[in-house]
Amino acid sequence: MRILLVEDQIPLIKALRQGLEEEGFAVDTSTDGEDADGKARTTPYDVIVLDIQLPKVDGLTLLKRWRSAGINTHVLMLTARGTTEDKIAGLDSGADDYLTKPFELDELLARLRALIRRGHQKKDPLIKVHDLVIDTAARSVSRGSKKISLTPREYALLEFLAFHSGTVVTRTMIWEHLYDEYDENTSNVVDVYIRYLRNKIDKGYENALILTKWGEGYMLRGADDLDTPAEEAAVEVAKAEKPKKK
Amino acid sequence: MPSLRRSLIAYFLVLLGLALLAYAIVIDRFAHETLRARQDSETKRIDEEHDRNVQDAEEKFNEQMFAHARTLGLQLRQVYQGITQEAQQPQQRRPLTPEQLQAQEIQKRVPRQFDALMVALAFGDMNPVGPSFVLQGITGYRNSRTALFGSALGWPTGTPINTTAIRVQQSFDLSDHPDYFQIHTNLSPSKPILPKGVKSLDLPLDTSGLSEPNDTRYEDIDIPQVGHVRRLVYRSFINTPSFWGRTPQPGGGRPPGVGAPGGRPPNTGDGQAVYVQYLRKLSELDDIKTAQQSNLDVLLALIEAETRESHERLRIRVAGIAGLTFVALFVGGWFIIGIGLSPLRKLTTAVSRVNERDFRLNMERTDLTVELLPIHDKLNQSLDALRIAFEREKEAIADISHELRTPVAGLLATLDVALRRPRTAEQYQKALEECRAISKQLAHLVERVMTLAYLDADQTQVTRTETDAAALAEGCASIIRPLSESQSVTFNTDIDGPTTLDTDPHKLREVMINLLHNAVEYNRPGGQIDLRVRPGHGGGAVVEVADTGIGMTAEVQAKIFERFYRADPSRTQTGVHAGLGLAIVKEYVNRLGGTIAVESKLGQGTTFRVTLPA
Repeated sequence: MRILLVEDQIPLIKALRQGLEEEGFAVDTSTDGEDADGKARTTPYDVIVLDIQLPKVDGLTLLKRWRSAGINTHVLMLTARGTTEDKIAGLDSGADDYLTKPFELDELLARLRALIRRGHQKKDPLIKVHDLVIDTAARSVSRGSKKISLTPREYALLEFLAFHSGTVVTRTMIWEHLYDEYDENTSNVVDVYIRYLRNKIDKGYENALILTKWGEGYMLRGADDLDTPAEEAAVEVAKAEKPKKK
Repeated sequence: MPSLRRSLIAYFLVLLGLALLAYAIVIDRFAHETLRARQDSETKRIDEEHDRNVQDAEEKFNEQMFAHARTLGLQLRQVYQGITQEAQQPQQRRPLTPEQLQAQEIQKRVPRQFDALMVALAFGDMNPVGPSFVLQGITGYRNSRTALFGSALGWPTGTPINTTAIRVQQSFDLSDHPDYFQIHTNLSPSKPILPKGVKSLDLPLDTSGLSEPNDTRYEDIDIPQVGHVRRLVYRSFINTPSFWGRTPQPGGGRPPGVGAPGGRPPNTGDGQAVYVQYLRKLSELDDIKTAQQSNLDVLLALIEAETRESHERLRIRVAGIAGLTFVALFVGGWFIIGIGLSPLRKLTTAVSRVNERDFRLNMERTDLTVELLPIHDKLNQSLDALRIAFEREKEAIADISHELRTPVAGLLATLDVALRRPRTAEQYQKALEECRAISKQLAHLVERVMTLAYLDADQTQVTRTETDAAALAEGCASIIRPLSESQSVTFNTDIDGPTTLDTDPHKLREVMINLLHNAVEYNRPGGQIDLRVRPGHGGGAVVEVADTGIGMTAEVQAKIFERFYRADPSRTQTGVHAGLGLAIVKEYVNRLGGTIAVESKLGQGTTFRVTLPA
């Protein structure tokens, strides 16, 4: 999940970037309003964390601009202004959540997860695809009775697929949501992570859950998609692996 | 709790009460006098009437006496004239009846002298006959053949009557007049003849002042057997003088001490005089008088009561009117005062609605009176000042909390991230360094906030000593120069010294360092800073810090000495200035008795000039 962190305090940016990345988020940062405006208009962030007191353009003005421009990205206000009036002003300007400084990292993370779920019209933190269960709150994955250990990036990829289960996601979409502005966009980095994920999720199971749609992208099998034969899935997997070898 | 309305109405009512009381007393006195005058005149009238009535009663009493006496006299005359006619024409008399003859015989035996004529009408118990009138005891008439009318009414007869008795029955209704008559002739004034069985009072005859017929004399006397009586002596006459022929003999005693002295009845010589003495009890008159007196008393009491009643009625009426006036004015006054106080009430309501969220006095000036307008205006001014102060305070608190929260959030986030999972020693060290930097920034900020708080609380000590401003400036320059050069800013000094001042060196140093820091921070690479110190015109010193930095608009210049004001928020990330530096500088310069001025042009640079006294 990709997050834009708009904050003018360098120490805080440093700490948050590290903390969020360690949780599997892709983090872009901006230290002033103008820069943040440009990024928010060009990148489909999952959540924007926005301070109010910013150089050049303040957070509330920025938020109003985005909302009137039709940018509906979830915005979490993260600010030192803690009065009720400030909160009301923030929420009424179009913010989806409001957190005052100082805050605890766990709370920020939980709120971010909640906003991401809300972005995918999910309320239940547990996502089930056949015998695969993804707990988005605890960030744990199990298939059948077996717990599966994933790296943050693998988890983020699986979660992204799971939020879109039953529909095809393109490599670009995956890229846009799982990598930040500084990551080098090598052509097969997504495919590499899909293969890692398959090894952990599908290897040794009768039904493969991650399907490759040739020429389109990848798909996590939908919850009602029980009829798709395993072979077909295998074929899909084979096809999907094909470009990587190029 | 005293109420304006209640106290006003109380004062008003006290005043009203006193006024009404005064009015009531005046009216009461006036009415009292009027009524008293009326009563007096009425009393006088009644008294006069009473006096008249008493006089009338007396006159009537006397008239009645006179009328009786006169009637008696007339009757006597008639009787007497009848007798004398008989005596003058004896030949023409018809033959006498045997009874008449007998009477004649009897008459012949009585003295021929007409001694006295006496009428005795007994008083009350003395005359059992009642309403009878008997004239008797006529003697001495020579040829008297006086008709004896007898004593059919029970006159105590049985004794021969040798008088000419005249009975006049029903001549007077004497039932109510149990009075006493006594008749004398001037022939024998001292000797009334009494019928037998009738006690004579034997009143002496005093004829003084009675010279003419119909003369009367009234006198009040005491008679032992009867009491206090009024006596009327009336002179009547009986006949012509030719008839009587001779004059009665003088002399004839009378009881000593009674009647007027030495009075023989005057003989006019032209006839027989008859004196009627008529006694009437004065108690009768007294009764009338008493009745009239009691009547008068009753009337007077009535008038007195009437007057008192009128007075009482008037008092009640006055009291009633006063009470009603009091109540009406109380109620009216209550409302009127209420209406009069309504602007005050509006002001009170408006004031009571003022709170920490809304400092406006929500009311129109037109709702107020002239007296309240100054209060309203002054209050509005104060509220405005208070609102501004309150807002500034609120802003300051918000700013302080914001400024404190931001580094704390960075600190907390850094620590949270560091502790989230096991780290290498290098990672921990990095995190700790990060935290230390943030903490230093925080400490610096707290220090500045505290400095301002001390300044506000007036607890900042200014310790003046002899200070060389030039030397101080050199010291500051040596601190700032490396910083300035690290940012590619040229640092020049033009220090004219020594410039000795009596001031607080620490404060002055703080001022210079702050200004120089700003000059570096708001400068541009390749820019320049000039620090100039020179003696002031009238002693003291002038310190100038000029830069060729970004400069400020006039709008910004007006605000730079406000707390937490930052010309460019983007600079906050350096963490050194939270918009408090210039506020502290200004406060310090003020404490040192100096002034600070700023000149700036946007994009060209800024010059701060501090003028300090000697």
